[in-house]
Amino acid sequence: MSDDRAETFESFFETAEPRLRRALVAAYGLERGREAAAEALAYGWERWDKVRGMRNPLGYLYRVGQSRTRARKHPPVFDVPAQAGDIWFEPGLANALSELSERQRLAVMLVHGFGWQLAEVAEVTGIRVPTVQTHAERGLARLRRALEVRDHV
Amino acid sequence: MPSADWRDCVGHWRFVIMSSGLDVRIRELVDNGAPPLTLAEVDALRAFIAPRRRSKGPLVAVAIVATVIVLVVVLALATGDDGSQSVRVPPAQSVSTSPPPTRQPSGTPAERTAHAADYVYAVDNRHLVVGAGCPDDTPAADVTETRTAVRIRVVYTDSHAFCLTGSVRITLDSPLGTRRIIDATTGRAIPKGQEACADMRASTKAHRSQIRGRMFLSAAESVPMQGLVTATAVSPSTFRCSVQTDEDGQFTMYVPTPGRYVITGLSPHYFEGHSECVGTTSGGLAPSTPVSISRTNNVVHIDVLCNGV
Repeated sequence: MSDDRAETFESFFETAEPRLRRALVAAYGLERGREAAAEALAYGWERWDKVRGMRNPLGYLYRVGQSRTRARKHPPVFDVPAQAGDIWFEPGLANALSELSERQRLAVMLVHGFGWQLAEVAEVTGIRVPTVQTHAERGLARLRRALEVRDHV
Repeated sequence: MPSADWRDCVGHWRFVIMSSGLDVRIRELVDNGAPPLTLAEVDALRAFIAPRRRSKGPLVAVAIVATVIVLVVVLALATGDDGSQSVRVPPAQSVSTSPPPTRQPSGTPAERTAHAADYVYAVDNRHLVVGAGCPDDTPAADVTETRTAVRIRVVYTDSHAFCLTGSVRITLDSPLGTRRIIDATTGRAIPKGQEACADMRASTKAHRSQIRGRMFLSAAESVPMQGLVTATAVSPSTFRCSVQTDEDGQFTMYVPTPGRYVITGLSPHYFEGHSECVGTTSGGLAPSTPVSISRTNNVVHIDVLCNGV
């Protein structure tokens, strides 16, 4: 690979890696999501000449990641630690996240977890903005129900 | 004093966690559970991507053939019950795989004109330089890669009546290996430089001469230019032979005799192979002037100069 290609991919990698990994992990779980992100990025690097000219390379690589993990129809797995540092984790959070639909989980985790704009989620995942908003709202409501959050204090 | 339902307490407690810390927890969950990828990790995976992609072709073909066979058998069984119809087996050529992905150059198809590729040489196993097109209208190339061949269709957007030799640099999706390179415009194989010259080496001495020389930067003779040196026969002959130089810019090639040849060179280090270097003899032959080689010339010395403009 020429220096120019390597440099441009490296700069792309810096910005794209966290976004792609988080989106795919939200959709497919910790292990599968991370593997899918790695495969998608490797694919993108292998075909960087083609990918870098695209209007939305991140969205394209998200699709690549989806296709790489689509064959395995297992529910996503989130191993939630009881405590990490000063953060205490609700024990039911892992199951509650796993039981959300793929799109609801994606919307909830990216919008409420990482503070993505609805349009950003739409751009990466190819889902329309109003649909992302609906999934985020319904997903959060479902998460609250699953964790028996009855109060809105 | 009314006692609060324990569910309210738990609910309130969970809500605090949910509302004030859901974002923190999700970030912690994702970034600790699936730690950031490194470039080295992704690079290691690339080695597996290319072979897997190449191996898909035969699998797809087998799957399609199997599907067609199953359909034919099902149709035969279905129509065999009443015996009133005969089943026509599809001809073999109707079974085809979907076309592999093709890289498209800019411009609409109507604007582009196909141009036969004249020659090709491999800079390395992933990069080709194809000679064709017009220097003032950077040519592009449609490349279709299959397991056994690389098909190249050189295109340019302008309609110049006279096209001098330009070149297109192509990066392949997977290593060239032993695949043939085919000009999609003419359907003929494009000779790889080294091979074309090797063919001539096998002919009898009476019908060929050896051209030796060196390609270098004319402004600094000590700077060798690695690349491709081409001998193009002047009309009516259509012979063209290319050979790659060594690290010192030295080359040796064989051409049929008698004949008149224009010697040119291309180097990826000189305008990235988009500008030609020109051959000249020690006798002061003007650049680009055809060199006449008779049957008595067993060895001819011609240097190829890159002007360094």
